[in-house]
Amino acid sequence: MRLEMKKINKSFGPVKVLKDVDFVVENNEVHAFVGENGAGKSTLMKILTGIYSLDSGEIYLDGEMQHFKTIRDSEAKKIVIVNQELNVFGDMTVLDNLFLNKEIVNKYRKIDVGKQSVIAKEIFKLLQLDLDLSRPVRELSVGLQQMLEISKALIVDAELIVMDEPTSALTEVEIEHLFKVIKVLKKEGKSIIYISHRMKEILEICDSITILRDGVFIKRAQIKDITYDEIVSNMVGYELGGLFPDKPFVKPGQSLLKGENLSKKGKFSNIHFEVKEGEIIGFAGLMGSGRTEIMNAIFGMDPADSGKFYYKDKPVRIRSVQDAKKIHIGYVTEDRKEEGLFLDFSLNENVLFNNLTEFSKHNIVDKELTRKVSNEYLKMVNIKCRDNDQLVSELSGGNQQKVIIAKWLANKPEILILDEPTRGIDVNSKKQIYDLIFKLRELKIGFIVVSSELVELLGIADRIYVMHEGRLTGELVNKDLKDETVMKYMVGGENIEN
Amino acid sequence: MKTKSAKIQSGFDKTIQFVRKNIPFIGLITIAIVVGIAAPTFFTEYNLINVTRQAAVNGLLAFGLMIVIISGGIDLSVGSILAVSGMATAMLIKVGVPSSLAILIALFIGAGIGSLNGVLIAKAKLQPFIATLGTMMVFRGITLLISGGVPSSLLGEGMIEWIGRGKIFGVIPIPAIVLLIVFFIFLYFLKNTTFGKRIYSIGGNAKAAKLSGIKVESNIIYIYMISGILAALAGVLTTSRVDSAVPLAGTSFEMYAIAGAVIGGTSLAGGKGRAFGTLVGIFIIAVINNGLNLIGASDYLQQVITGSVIILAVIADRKK
Repeated sequence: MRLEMKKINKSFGPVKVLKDVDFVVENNEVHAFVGENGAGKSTLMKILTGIYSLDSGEIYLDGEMQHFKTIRDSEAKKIVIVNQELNVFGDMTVLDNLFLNKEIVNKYRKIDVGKQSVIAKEIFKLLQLDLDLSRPVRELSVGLQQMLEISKALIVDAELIVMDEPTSALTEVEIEHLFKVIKVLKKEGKSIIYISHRMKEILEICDSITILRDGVFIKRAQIKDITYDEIVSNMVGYELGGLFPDKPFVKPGQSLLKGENLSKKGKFSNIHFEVKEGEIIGFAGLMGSGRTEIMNAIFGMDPADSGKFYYKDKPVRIRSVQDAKKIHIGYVTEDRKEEGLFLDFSLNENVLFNNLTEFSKHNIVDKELTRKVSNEYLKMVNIKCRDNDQLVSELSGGNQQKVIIAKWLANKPEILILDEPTRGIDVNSKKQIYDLIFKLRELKIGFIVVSSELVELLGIADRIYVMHEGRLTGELVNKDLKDETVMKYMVGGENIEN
Repeated sequence: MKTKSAKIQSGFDKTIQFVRKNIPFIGLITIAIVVGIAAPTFFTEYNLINVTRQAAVNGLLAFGLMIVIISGGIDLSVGSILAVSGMATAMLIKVGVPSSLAILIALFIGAGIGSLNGVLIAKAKLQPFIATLGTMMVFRGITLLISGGVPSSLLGEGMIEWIGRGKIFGVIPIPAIVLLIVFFIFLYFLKNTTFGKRIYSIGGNAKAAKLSGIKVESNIIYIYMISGILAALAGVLTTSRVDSAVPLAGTSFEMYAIAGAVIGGTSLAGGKGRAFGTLVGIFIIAVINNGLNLIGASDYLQQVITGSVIILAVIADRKK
C-alpha cells in the first residue's frame, strides 16, 4: 500500500502543530519518521489513524482519497498503530487480548476459541514466537507484549503498520527479534512506519526517512543517501556537535558509597561496587539482569538480604528509603510517570513532596522557603515551562525528567542514582541531561547510572559494571572501551575480576 | 479603545475563572436563595443556626472521608464507628463512669477502629473498599450485640448533656462550634503542614511518594485513624443530642459523608480536595434537606434531590 499525505495542517487552539506537512510511504518499505518530541510526529500519526481530524490537507491510499473520521475508518483500510504505551490487558489471556473486540464467533454467537487459536498460532509461527495462548499477559515481558501488539495488527491483516518507539522498553535481544519480525513483515508485503529516536536502529532497519521539525516537513531521503549527522542536524536545526560532553579529567575524590557482597535471593548475588566523589559509574546488563533490583536495594526500597554498605568508608545500614536519604542518596527512577512524578501537581509541589522535612518547621510547611529553593533548582536544570506553578503533566518528557532531577537536587544529594535517565526523550534533551550530569559531577556528586543504551554508558561513565543474570560479570574502566566488549560480558562472558 | 476592551476582557476572564473555581460555593448560594424564596423562615437566625447544627454530624464524617479520599482510599465504616462509640459512651455512663471520661474512651475506640482499618489497608494490603466494608459490618454487629438491640437512654447531665445540647452565649449550639473548629483545623493543616502535603502526595502517586522517602504505610494508618476519631466524635454528638444511643444510628451515613466530600470537589481518583469545598458540600446537603423540611416536602424527595445534586456537582467539576 502506498500512503501519501499532502499539505496537512492542524492547530490546537492558537497553536499550529502541523504546517503543510507532506508525508509519503511507498509500497512495501520500512519508513523512518523522526523529529524531536513536540515536532508533531504523534499528531500526524493520529490524523492518519483518524483519532484527530485534520484542518486541511488530503490523505491518499494507493491514489485514492480517504476521509478518516474515527480509528475504525483507518482500521477498515488496513492501517494499524502499535502504540508506545502498550494497550494490553494484564489479567486477560494472550488469546483474549489478541482477539479483543475482533472475536470470531460461531452461529450461536459463542466465541470460537478453536478457530481463534489456529489463527493465533499461525501468526506466532510467522513471527517466530513461542507463546502459551492461555497465559495472562501480565506475566509476559515488555518485549513479548510488544510482539502481541504487532500480532494484533496481523489479525486484522494490516497493510500499513505504524510502530511508535517500539524499542524504547526492549532489551538488545528483544530488539534483534523485533528486527527479524520487521523483515518478515516486509517480506509479506507490508509497509511500516518506524518512529524512533534511536538513529542506529533507523540506519540498520529502515529504507527511507522523513524528518519533521516544529511541525514543518524538513526532508525525505533514502537511508543509503543520508548520514547519522545529517539526520540529527536536520532534526534539531543546527549542528549538534558531539552528543556527549568532552570528558574533563576529574580525579575522583573520597569514596562515597561502597557495597560489598550484596545478595538478594532470586535477584542478585555477591555484588560489589564503589562510587567516589565526582565519579560516574555505570551499570550495564540486559533487562532482567538485576540492575534495577540492585538500585532498589541501594535506595532501601527493597533491601538486600545480606552484604555491607560503607558510606565514606564507615559501615552503614540501608533498610529503608529513609536510611538512604539520610546518607544523601537520590533516585531518579526508570519509570517517570509511574514512580517519579506527581503528574497532576505543580513543579513546585513536586519538589516540595520530596523535601517535606527540609521545607518545614515543626511540621508546618514554609511556603516562602519552598518557593525560593525550588525556584533555584528548577532554574538550575533549565526547564522549559510557563512558570513553576504549571502542572507537570503539561511538560514534555525531557522537561519532566529535569523536574525529577531538580527535586532530588533540592535534597542536596551526594550520590545520585539515574535509572534510564534519557529513555523516550529527544536528542536535544538528552544532550542537555548529559551536560547537566557533567556540571553536577564538578560539585562532587557521585553518579550511578543504569542504562539499556550502551552508547550512553560509553559516552558518560568512568567505569562500567556489567551484569548477567544477577551476577557481576565484568568491571571495566571506560577507556577505549568498545561496545562489543561490554556486550560480551552482558551475555555472560568471562569475568575480568572475581 | 483596544486597551479598554482588553481590560474588560481580562476582568471578564477573571470572573469566569473565579466562577469555575468556586462552582460548589456559587451553587450553595443559589440553592440558599431559592430555598429562602420558597420558605421565608429559612433566613431567620434560628433556622440558620439550626442548619449548622444539623450539618455537624455529617460534617465531621465528611472531613474524615475527605482526607481518606484524597489519599486515594474510601472509608465505609464511619457509620458503624459512630454507632459503636455512641453506644459505648451511653453504656459507660450507665455503669457510673463520669461522662467526660466516657466520651474520651469513645474517642479512643474510634481511633482504634480507624487504626485497624489503616492496618488492614496499609499492612495487610486489602483494598480500602473491602477492608472498611468488613469493619462496617463487624462493628455494626458488635453494637447490636453489646446493646442487645435496644437503645440506651436517659444519660443524665454533665459533659454528655452539654456537648450535644449545650449552647454558647445561649444561641450557638456546641455541635456547630465543633464543626467549625474541625473545619478550620483541616483548612490549616491540609494547606500548611507536612502531614497535609503527604496526604495529597500519597493520593497523587503512592509509588512516587514512597520513593520520596514518605512513610506511606504509617501515614495511611494515621489518615484512617483520624477518620475514626471524627466518626466517634460524631457518635458522641448524636448520642448527646437525643439523650440516647441507638444501635442502628448512623446507618448509611457514610454515603452522605462521601456525597459531601465529592460535591465539594474531592476526587475519588485521589490527590484532589479542599476543606472549604467539603464544608460547602456538607452545607449544600444540609440546606436542601432543611429547605424541603420547611416547605413540607417528603423525606423521599430529599433523597432524589441529593442524589441528583451529587451527579450535577461532579459533572460541573469535570467541566473546569
